[in-house]
Amino acid sequence: MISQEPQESFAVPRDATAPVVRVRDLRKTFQPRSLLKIGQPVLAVDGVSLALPAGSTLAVVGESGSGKTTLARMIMGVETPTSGSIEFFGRAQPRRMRTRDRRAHARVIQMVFQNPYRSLDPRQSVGAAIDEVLRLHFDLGRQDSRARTAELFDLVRLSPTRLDALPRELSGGQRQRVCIARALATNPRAIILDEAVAALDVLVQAQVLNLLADVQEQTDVSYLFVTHDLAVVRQIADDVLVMWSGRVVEHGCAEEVLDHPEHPYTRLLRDSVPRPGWKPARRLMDDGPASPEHA
Amino acid sequence: MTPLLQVDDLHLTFGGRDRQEQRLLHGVSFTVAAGEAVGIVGESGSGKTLTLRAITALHPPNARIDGDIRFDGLSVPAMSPRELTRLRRDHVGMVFQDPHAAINPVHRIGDYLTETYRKDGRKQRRDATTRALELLHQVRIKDPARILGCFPHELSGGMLQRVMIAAALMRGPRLLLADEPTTALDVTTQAEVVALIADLRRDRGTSLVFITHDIELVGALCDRILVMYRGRIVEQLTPAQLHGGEISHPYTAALLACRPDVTRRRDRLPAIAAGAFEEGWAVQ
Repeated sequence: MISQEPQESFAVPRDATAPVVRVRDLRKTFQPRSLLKIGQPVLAVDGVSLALPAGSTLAVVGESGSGKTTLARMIMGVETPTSGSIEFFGRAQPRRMRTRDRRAHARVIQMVFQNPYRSLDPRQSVGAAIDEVLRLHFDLGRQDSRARTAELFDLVRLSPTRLDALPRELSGGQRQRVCIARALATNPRAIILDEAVAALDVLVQAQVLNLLADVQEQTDVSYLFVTHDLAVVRQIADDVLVMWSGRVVEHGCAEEVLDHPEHPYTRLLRDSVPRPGWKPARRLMDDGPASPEHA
Repeated sequence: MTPLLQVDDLHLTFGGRDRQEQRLLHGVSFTVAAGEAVGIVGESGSGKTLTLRAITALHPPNARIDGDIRFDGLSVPAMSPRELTRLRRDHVGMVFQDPHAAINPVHRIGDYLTETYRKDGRKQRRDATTRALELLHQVRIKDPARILGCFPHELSGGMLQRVMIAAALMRGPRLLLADEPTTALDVTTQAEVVALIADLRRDRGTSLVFITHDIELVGALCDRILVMYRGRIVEQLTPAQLHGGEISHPYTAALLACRPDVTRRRDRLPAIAAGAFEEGWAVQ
């Protein structure tokens, strides 16, 4: 039987005033494996430090290959850091997580992915997807679990009449709400949103951004918001961390960084957002990722 | 002067006979002049991709088309399969959203670019390869000779998208159709690809139809913006009208207002329910 309270493990808040997540000097090297040749090791994340206080939103910005998703995966515990530490409420995440650790971890932090079509089981009703998480983590009877699922639906403003719907019967925006509700099912203290609004149409994106702000106000949950869109960062983030090629090139208050970006790469990102009077600029083309030198 | 492309009262319907009829396009009409860039904006399901596909008769085969599409004065729905092949091969270039999905993964980039010359003589094929190299250079790909021998999976999304643009330009088309060509790309790569399309259009005088859901993006690239909603064009305007506040349709206003702004944070983004414009075009 699973008790209501988390078991004694790493994720028990040791210090409730400590940030939900603190990352120190995190590094991840991938060793490419190939039958014919041994490639150079790739340094995907290179000495990243960050703190995510309770109830706040930190945006991690960068483009494909900047290491932002690898960083998120290490915090989620699905990728093992090469070096550095990850703490939750001041307690270090063990390098090897046992099942019990993972379950406790899941009550602290959850993740929502970019594509809500692929992150839901097509044969499972959306109510059952949430029910499954609730019963794994809490000792709830069928009725209580159903009631809690309806509550979570209400929180993300989905009609309870949709509980028995299959993912394909819902729109993209509704599906993303289901994913957010499922992430909230364990009462986590933080949610990692990996490009969670990038695939949505503007009107739906606006609704989901508003919804995330409301949920944060009600539950004091923190967000680690992974995105490449600085307009979204402006709308939702308190702090921002700009990554390029595995390194943090700028880190600070979102408003400050967006108003007065210091690093050329941050300026390049900001200037790439279409807006009135915008003229797309051609930089000298390189076949690799955009580099700050070209800005 | 007749416009290069004329879409006249286009209707597209699925089903019929024993099945429930479903009409997805309701009388879409617009023209594209030679050298003009027209952007179509709207959400998923607004019918913008279907409209674009109907231009080269690439709409789903079980859909029925009513109305007329004229390319350079010739009716596309009336064309024979052979004429359609010629239209798609020689006159209209197409660029799609996801380059990794749109390009055959088992062929090398060089074969993909010179595909339409395969049945021609040896000299033409050699000329095609020269042209491919030239175009790859124009879309700013470093070391084009090496890229010709690469497979699609060896290139990044941004590079492959530029390869697809080069492929669309191989036969010097008069019209370029681009269906969300930058949606799958990073913002920096998007700026690069859009700048590239703008340059190519200016240098070659190619007409352009560009589809996106980002109204600011077409505002920067196109001469004219068509706003589509539920299978209809609900508004046509120029970028100057868009930014000068001369927007007459609430859906256009919503597309603009719901977009997060990089220069300022708003307390809340306007919440507009889908379908809010259905009855009497009222904003809720």
